[in-house]
Formats: sequence, C-alpha cells, structure tokens
Amino acid sequence: MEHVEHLLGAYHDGELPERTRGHVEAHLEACPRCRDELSHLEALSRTLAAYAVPDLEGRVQQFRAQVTLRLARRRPTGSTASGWWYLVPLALSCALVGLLALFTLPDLLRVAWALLEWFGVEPGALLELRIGVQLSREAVAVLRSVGTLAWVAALYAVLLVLFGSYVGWVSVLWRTKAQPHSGKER
Amino acid sequence: MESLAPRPDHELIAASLGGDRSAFGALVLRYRKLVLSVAYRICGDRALADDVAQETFVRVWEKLDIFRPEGNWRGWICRIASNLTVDALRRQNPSVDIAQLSLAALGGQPERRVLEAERAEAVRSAILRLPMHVRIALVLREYEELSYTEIAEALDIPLGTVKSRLSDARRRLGQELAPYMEE
Repeated sequence: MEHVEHLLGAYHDGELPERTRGHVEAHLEACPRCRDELSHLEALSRTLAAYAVPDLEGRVQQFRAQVTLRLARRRPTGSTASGWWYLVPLALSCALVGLLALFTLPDLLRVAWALLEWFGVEPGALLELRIGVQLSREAVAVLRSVGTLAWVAALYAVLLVLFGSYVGWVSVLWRTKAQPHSGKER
Repeated sequence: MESLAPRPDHELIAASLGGDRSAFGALVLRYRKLVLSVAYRICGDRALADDVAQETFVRVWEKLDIFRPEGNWRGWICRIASNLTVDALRRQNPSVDIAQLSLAALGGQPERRVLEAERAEAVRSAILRLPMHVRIALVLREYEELSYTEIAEALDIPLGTVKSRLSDARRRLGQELAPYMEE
C-alpha cells in the first residue's frame, strides 16, 4: 500500500484537486498510519490556535486615527494629483518658446505684412502692423545689445527643457504601463 | 437612499486611489486585524506589531497605484506587512540572524502558571524559533487562511515552495509542541 503522508498537508488545508482528494480519502479509510498522521496535523492546528494576538479588538478607532495622522498629506503615488509636477517642465518650455516668439516678432510681422500687401488688405491693418513692427524693433534692439549669447543660451534652454519634459513623460508612461500593475509591493 | 451594505473592497480601493481618506479609513478598519495578526505572529511583540501595522497601511496608501484591481488584495497586504515586520526586526537587531531576532522578545515575560497560558507561550516561542521564511508561510496559512496560490503570490515564490515551507514548519512545530498537543 502506498502511503499518502506527502499529500496530507494539502489535504488538511483543502488544497487538493477533487480527484486526488478522493484518492486520499479512500486511502485514509484503510490506513491507520496515515489517519494518525492526519490527526496529528489537525491537533497541531488546534494547538497553534493558542497563539492569539493580545488586545486585537481594542483601540480600533485610535489605530485608525494614528494611521490617518501618519498619512499626513501624502496621496497615493501615481494618482492624477501627484502627477501634476510633470507638467512643470512642459509649462516652462512653453513659456520659453513664447519668449523666443516675442524676440522674433518683427520678422514674423514683416512676413505677415508682406503677405497682406500681396493679398491687397486695407491700409488701416497695414498701419497697425507697421506700428507693431516699429515697437518690436525698438524692444529687440535693446535686447540684442546684450549680445547674441543670450539668444543661443535661450535656445539651448528651450531644447533642454523640451528634452526634460520628454524624459518626464516617458518616465510617466513607463511607470504606468510597463512596470506597474504587478501587484507586488517590492 | 444610500445603501447600508458595506462597500466592497474594490470600490473602497478605487475611491482611496482618488484620494478619498474616509474610504481608505474603512479599509484600515476592515483589514486592521489581518495586518496586526500577521505582524504580531511574525515578530511576537505587540507594540512592534502595532507600529508595523500602521506603517503597513501608510505603505499601502502610497503604493495603491501599483495594485492591479484584479489582484489579490489580502495577499498583497500580507506581503507588505510581512516585509515590513522583517525590516523592523532587522532594524532592531541588525547584527543578529533574522531567524533568531524575535527570540529576544521572549525575555522578560511574566511567569505564567495557567496551563493555557503556558501552551500559548510554548506555541509562540516555537513559532518564533522557525526560520523567517518558513514562519511567514505558516502564519499566512495557519492564521490568515490564505490559499497556497495566495501565499505564492504574496511571497513571490512557486507553489511547490509554499508546500515545502509549510511542510517544514509543521514538521518542526509537531516535534516541538508534542507535549502540548491534545490528539
């Protein structure tokens, strides 16, 4: 007779598939040794129940309050609210792009003016554009006196920030799609 | 009219993920016993278990976004609780073998003369003498009644390893607790 001691743990835990369980039960009917072994496992479980957690029922609300206190103002990571800081580099890059656009306004207006003339638009609109061009030229003349270095620096800053925001978004996508949802804490 | 039935876990988890602290508070109340039980039975120290249990819920709150809705919530919480308990024991006694750490907590216990108390102390002592990985598997099965699959997921180990750890734990405990067992 082949004993089933190696299966008794899983049998005791209700972890055997139905067919194997039937086989074990049939064996137990006929085998006092395996029955004793199962009784031993059951007795062990009853004995282990003696290891109770003291004061498990008490201080429930206090426990909850302490947890809430420890949460402080932290939010679950990856939630919508905590992801807003990723927008900062994007906002900065937009601001710098806007600044660059301001510097190049005279050129843009000149092109727009030429196009309007070509299409035969009203002189009033052309005058407004001329004033805009003049004001912008004066402003840019002052700024250009600082030197072309500022332009180059600004350009590189924009590129850097754009790259930073790109990396930020890629990391967000990676965190939310590639790695997560494993359900593993660490 | 609002239903009086308790909200299911998945609803509370989703609400917590959106920053709803009262929903998370409900989860804390619901799973407090489980977490405390896991922590205490691994470390054997009630005060430490309480601290670990609180930290477990803070960690759960912070990591809610990586929990997948179809995942095993109880197993995930047990995993965090057991990891944090081991970390806490290691912090208390960094130079001591992790399997022996909680034995220190056995010292200074008042003498217990009642038979039941003696038995409880013997069980506690025997469990705390188990190697840590075996102890955690036993606690999750014997006290928290997690299935083998849930334990395997919680501890990130194969199903066969769960079985062998449980078998090892029961063999050791069966020998140690023989004088206290009532067949």
